[in-house]
Amino acid sequence: MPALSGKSHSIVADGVRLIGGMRMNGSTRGICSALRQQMSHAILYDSQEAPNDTTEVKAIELFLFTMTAAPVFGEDFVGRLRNGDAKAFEQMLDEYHGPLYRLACSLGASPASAEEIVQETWLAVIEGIDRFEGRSTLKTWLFAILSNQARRRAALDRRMPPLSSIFSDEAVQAVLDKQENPCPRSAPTRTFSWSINPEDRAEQRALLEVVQKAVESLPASQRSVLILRDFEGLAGDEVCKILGISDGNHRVLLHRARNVLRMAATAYYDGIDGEAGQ
Amino acid sequence: MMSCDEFTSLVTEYLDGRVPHGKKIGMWMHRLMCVRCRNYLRQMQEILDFVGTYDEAPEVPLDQGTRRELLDRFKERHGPGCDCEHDH
Repeated sequence: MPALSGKSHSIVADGVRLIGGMRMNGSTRGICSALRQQMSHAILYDSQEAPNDTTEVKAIELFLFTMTAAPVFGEDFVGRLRNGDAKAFEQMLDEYHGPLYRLACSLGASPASAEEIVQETWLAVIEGIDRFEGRSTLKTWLFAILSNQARRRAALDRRMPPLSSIFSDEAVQAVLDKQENPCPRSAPTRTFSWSINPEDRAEQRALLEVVQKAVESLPASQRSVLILRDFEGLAGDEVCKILGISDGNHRVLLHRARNVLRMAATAYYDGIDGEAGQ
Repeated sequence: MMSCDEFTSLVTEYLDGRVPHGKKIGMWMHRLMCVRCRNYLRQMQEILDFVGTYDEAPEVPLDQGTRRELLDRFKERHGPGCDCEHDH
């Protein structure tokens, strides 16, 4: 069995990019996660050894299945909005209100300001949907509008930090300087032995809380990049456009933010090991 | 031989499939030799798969009054009888 070909890589990567533009219900998210894992396996193994016999077929099957199963907020959906379909508008409100609010908060808005920013975003969407050209996904477009609204709000509200101050090179560097970037060589081996048990629901619930707390503890710049990339599933270039940051800053912010999550998980598993050892 | 520091600093790009071929070979060699970096990469992947599967944005209820206002505005702007250019 040969390693994954370049073509299937690009199919899977395209699939993930498309899926990233959708808001998914629970079951579909599970399917997408499986697809993402397949893609990760493909990337991991392509230069090392052949994946198991079914990896390539499974990745493509999952991609096709997800494409037919996922609710698509694509061209048809935008057409429905333009034609005044109120149900489509309500569906969009239900799907994206929470994610938009979360991003507004992560950009330094207070809960009350975040609510107002999201409402202003919806008003801008109503006015602008006819001008939406479909060059990005609807989801990316919504986040971009929210980012602009947050920028506008920060200019008027002194309690909210300007986005330029969060994402300037100096601010990014200051955030990085304050954080530990652990090198595996300097840490104890046991720190690197934990593994998430996919069968243990109680462990997963506890770990989710740990992860959510770690996300809340992140500085605004890292939190917003992490939310858009890993929670909302947007591509790196889309995140750079939405937040107005360079690719280099995006990568380093994401890397450190992911590291914080990994360290939080490590502390959680160390705690479990400590309890078990008592 | 690539150092552990360099390996970990490339992990995010590696997971995005953006590491140039030469560096990828360096990472591959390093992984073979270093159990800690091998586990570091695996854990990073596990945690990303985990949040991708279980994370949900917070439920933020849109109060009924605001929802109605937005809907009215939408219908006014795009519904039948509006002054926009497209057909209904």
